[in-house]
Order: sequence, then C-alpha cells, then structure tokens
Amino acid sequence: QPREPCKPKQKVAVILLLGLDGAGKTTLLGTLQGEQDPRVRPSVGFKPVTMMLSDELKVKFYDLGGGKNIRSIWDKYYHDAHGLLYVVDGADGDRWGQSKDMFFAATSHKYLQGKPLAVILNKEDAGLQIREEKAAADLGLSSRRDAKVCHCSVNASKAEGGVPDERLEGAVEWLLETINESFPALNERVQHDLQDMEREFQLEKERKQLQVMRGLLRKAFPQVE
Amino acid sequence: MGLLTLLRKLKRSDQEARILVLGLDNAGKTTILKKLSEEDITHIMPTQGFNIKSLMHEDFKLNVWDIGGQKSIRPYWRNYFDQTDALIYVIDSADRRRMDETGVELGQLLEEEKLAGIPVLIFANKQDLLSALSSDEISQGLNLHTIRDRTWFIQAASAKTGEGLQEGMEWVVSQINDGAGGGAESKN
Ligand SMILES: Nc1nc2c(ncn2[C@@H]2O[C@H](COP(=O)(O)OP(=O)(O)OP(=O)(O)O)[C@@H](O)[C@H]2O)c(=O)[nH]1
Ligand SMILES: Nc1nc2c(ncn2[C@@H]2O[C@H](COP(=O)(O)OP(=O)(O)OP(=O)(O)O)[C@@H](O)[C@H]2O)c(=O)[nH]1
Ligand SMILES: [Mg+2]
Ligand SMILES: [Mg+2]
Repeated sequence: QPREPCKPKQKVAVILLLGLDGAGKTTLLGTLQGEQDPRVRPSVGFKPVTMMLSDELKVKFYDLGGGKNIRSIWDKYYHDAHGLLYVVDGADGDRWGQSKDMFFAATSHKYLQGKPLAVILNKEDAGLQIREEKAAADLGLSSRRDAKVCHCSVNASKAEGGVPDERLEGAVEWLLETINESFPALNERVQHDLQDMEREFQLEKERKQLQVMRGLLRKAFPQVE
Repeated sequence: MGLLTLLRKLKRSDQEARILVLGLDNAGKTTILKKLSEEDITHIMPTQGFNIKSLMHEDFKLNVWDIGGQKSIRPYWRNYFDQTDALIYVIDSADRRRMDETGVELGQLLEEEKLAGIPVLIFANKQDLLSALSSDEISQGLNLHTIRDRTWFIQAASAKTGEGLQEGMEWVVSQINDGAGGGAESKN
C-alpha cells in the first residue's frame, strides 16, 4: 500500500472578522477570494472561509454578522481567534462612535485581549471621514506594534482588473506575519481557551438535552409529579 | 502577489441541487414550499411521509425534499440524507416552549456524517406572529454559535405572508454555487 508522504506539521490560524453591519466584512472576504462582483447581503449568521497560504499555513477567516440582531454572538468566537480584522465604514463618520464602542467591548474581552489585529478603514472611494492617525489614537493603538490601521476600499478589485487593492492585501499579509511571529504562544493560548469553551458548549448542550427529555417524560406520564 | 495566493472559487457546473427541508412538526415546512410554488396554503395537513417539489431559481433547479416532522417519524429523516447539497431547517419562531427541542434535533443533524459541511439555512418562520423570537434569541436557542465546520444563516420568514422566503432560497443557491460550502471543511 502506498503511504502518504510525510508532510510538515500544518499550522492553522483563525482570523475573526468583526465590525458593524454594512462595514464591508463579507465584501472583503469575497475580494480576497478573487470575486469580481461579490453580491452581498447582511450576514445574519456565520461563514468560515479557508485558504491555504502554503503547505504549512492554513488560514480560516470567520465572517460574522454585524447587525444589531446578531452581534451578540461575537463573543462566542473570541477564543478561537489568533488575530482580528476589524472593519469600519470609514465613510460613515456618524457611526464611528458606535464602531469604537464595539471595538473596545470586543478587544477588552479576556479571550481577545492583546491578540494581533488590523483595523480596516473601508470605503475610501466614498470619501473617508476618519483618518488613520485619528483612528489609531482613538482606538489606543498608536503605540502597539501588533496592531495596525489601514485605509482602503475593499471592493476595489473590479477596477483593478480582478486584483484586490494592494493595501488590503498588505494589511492581511502584515496581520498573518504578525501572527506567525508569535504563533507558538498564541496557539497555545487558543488551544487552552478552546478546551474551556468547548467544555462549556458541551455542558450547555447536555443541559438542553436533559430539559427536553424531562419535557417529553412529563408529557408521557402526566400523573407523575 | 506576495504571501496571499488567491483561492479562486470553483463554480459548479451542474445546475441541479438536492435540498433537504427538516424541522419539528408544525414548523411550517410544507406551507413554505407551497407558498414558494404559489399554491393554496389554506388546507395543509401534517406530512406523514414526504413531499418532493422542484423549484426553479434563475437557471438553477432545486429538488426539495420536505419530510414530516412529527416525533414518531423523525427517526426516518436519516433515510433522506444522501447527496444533500444544503439543509433548510424550519422553526416556528413563536414556539418558545419547543425551542430547546428543535435545537437538540438540529444538533443531532449537524453531527451526521452525510450532512457534514453543507450549508444550513434556518428559516425563522411565523415572523407574522407577535411573539416570534429575534435572530439572536434563535441562534442562542439553537446553539448555532457552536458551529465551526459550515456556514449558517438565519432568514426571518413567514409562509403566511411570503416574507423572506425568496431571500432564503437565494441564499441557499448562492452557497451551493460557492462550491463545497464556500470553502468550509471538506466532507472527510
Ligand atoms: N463604496 C464602497 N462600498 C462598499 C465597499 N465595500 C463594501 N461596500 C458596500 O457596503 C455594503 C455592505 O457590505 P458587506 O460586505 O455586506 O458588509 P458586512 O460588514 O459584511 O455587513 P454585515 O454582514 O451586515 O455585518 C454593500 O453594499 C457593499 O457593496 C467599498 O470599499 N466601497
Ligand atoms: N401564523 C403562521 N402560521 C403558519 C406559518 N407557516 C405555517 N403556519 C401554520 O402552521 C401549521 C403547520 O404548518 P405545516 O406547513 O403543515 O407544518 P410542517 O412543518 O409541514 O409540519 P409537519 O408536516 O407535521 O412536519 C399550519 O396550520 C400552517 O397554516 C406562518 O408563517 N405564520
Ligand atoms: Mg456580512
Ligand atoms: Mg409538512
């Protein structure tokens, strides 16, 4: 029987995409995958997108919905993440305050704190209202070496003949390199927190199963109790 | 192009897909399909076995299997798992009492090997009722946040008014077109 050739151990990095609804998260992922004209709609859910970057590195992007009705699930994914891509509608000055609040709420969480991150000030083509320096200062990132703010238009692939805006690619590459530099420590933290959360998910599941069983029994034997 | 090599999406060549519609009894599965094919929805009986419907969406043909959801026939759901391209899971958004029960049933489906990795659309049906739960309450109730191996999407809908039905089907087609669940883990 032919044997599988020995492969170098594969690293898997998870990058979480967060940001308010309409910021451009789903469009960004479509662009990275070379879609010419991504037709997007508000994401009321979750989508994992896996890319092989080399034999050793596999990256999973987790795209979550940013709308009011779905945002509350964000914190169920923090422990998975090796890094964060935070997307902001840079042309919407009115919602900068709200976007900032959500950023602080997410990045101060124990499972996300201190992980490498890139903030994308998106929709430059629609007229940026927030400058990089101001964003970095407002978000308290000016002196962090593992955090970066970058403006661009994530939907620019069409104009560029199918090639994404190089500043977007640059920001994602920078984030991957930053994650890669401290991968062993980051990954140890992720694996540790994964165990915690998976235990919690499992307990929750068992609790619900038990509740359902009880309900069914009560229905079958109403005289008991 | 540096470190990032782009992963072009595989477009499907065949224009036909098999969709499984599951959910508890009384969720509204049959009503949704009848409404989508513009049939009368006033006299629908609980489904004892299954119904098959073919729906055309642009150039795409969806062969949709609607299986009865009563407790006694749920064990037969597994007879329909083969070759499924997407799962539509219908819930009665106003049936708070059975939210845990429908969540447990969905949880078991998601562990089925034959359904591994396929996209899941949650039709949060009966949104016309005042007591209908919202998307985050539903994702919590169904434990959707524990899913990592596939994409899912909640579509608020009402088979009674038709709200959200077309949008839900569009999402399903877009995910099937994406190929392999949009880069989700493959089936092995
Ligand atoms: N002008 C401009 N519009 C953009 C850009 N990127 C995205 N958009 C548009 O912004 C809208 C929202 O984009 P999405 O990618 O759906 O945003 P999202 O962050 O995924 O939103 P949710 O899924 O609701 O959280 C869409 O209409 C996009 O076409 C950009 O660079 N420039
Ligand atoms: N108010 C309201 N009632 C609905 C809606 N959709 C379905 N119903 C009602 O819910 C009941 C059950 O609908 P069905 O379509 O038979 O449900 P099902 O999921 O096919 O049930 P089984 O075949 O037993 O698994 C019927 O009385 C429908 O009229 C809705 O959107 N709103
Ligand atoms: Mg989105
Ligand atoms: Mg039925």
